[in-house]
Amino acid sequence: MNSLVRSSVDTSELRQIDAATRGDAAARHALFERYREVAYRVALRITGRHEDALDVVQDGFIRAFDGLAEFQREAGFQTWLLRIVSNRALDLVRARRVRLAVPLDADDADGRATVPADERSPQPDAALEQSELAARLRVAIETLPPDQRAVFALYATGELSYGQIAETLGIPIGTVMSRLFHARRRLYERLPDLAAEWGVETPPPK
Amino acid sequence: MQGPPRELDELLRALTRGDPSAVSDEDLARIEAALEADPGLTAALAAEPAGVGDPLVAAVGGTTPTPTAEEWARVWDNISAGTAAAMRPAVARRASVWLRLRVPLAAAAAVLLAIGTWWNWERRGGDAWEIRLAADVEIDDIDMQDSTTPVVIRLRPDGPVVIWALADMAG
Repeated sequence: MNSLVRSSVDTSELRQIDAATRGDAAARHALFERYREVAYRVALRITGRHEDALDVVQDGFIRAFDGLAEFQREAGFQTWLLRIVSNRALDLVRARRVRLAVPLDADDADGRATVPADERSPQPDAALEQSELAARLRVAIETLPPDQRAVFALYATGELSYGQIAETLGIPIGTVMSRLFHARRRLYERLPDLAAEWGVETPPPK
Repeated sequence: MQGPPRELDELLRALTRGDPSAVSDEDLARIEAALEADPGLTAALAAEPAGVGDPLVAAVGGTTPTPTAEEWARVWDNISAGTAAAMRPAVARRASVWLRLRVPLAAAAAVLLAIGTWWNWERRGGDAWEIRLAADVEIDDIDMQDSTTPVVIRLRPDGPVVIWALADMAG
């Protein structure tokens, strides 16, 4: 498969990967420390839950280390790891995502993402505002279909190119752009006040 | 190298800028087709960093929690153990064999209830089960994996109603 990304994988990482393949614990730990945060952010945005995200990261690294012998070094360890992590996270989401109806308190009457009552807590104003924003974003992201959610989760790390996103998910770059477009449109429909605040025009909800 | 047509270029910029109102579904289809047909255009877009300057990305990034050092240490311990025991949850939770069995138990209960309802109906000499398209069921989202068919048992005062969720063959 022609890679969309001619990544310049640094030689120090290649040496680490070689050592990790031989079972070197220090090399594996170095890779873990380098990529755990981005793996967690992707897993969190897909699963929506902190504990599940940690489980996915753990499982992802175990599978990545177990499969190092088959790892194609041209793509970069990060791309490969995030592919494993996003697939694992999607598997988890699909396994628990059987529901008959959206809970009535997930959205207000206009379909906007609101904070569930049990997530509001007495906090200083700035912290409360941040906490509520985090919860609203999480609720809104959880309304995305799994394929859009995966693309958005990778996009929202702010660390990948469009080509890396395509390569991670194994889809054409046009599909990445399409899913991302629909994901953002749906999120802005759910968060109209933020869209207005950021000067983003949103088309009428479908 | 000649660049893409002006209009397509503007559409691509609007798309990467994250401006939902500037790109229609038809425009999106044109962009996808153009990317498929032009490897140079694909390569140029592939190299672009995603999410730069997007306030949505900034908001998501700014509200992402950070695992504690203890949590990372526990995750690493499990990874480095590299055994079947390492598949235990990263965060300690009450393990319960009943929680792991809840899905197959629920499925078995649904089947038994359906059989029991049919047997009871037959025994009372009742009419054949009414089969009709449900007009009052709204399923927002349901995961149908492989060949499995989700079954929903809805309990009403006049007896249970079995709802078989079938895939929309019309697509």
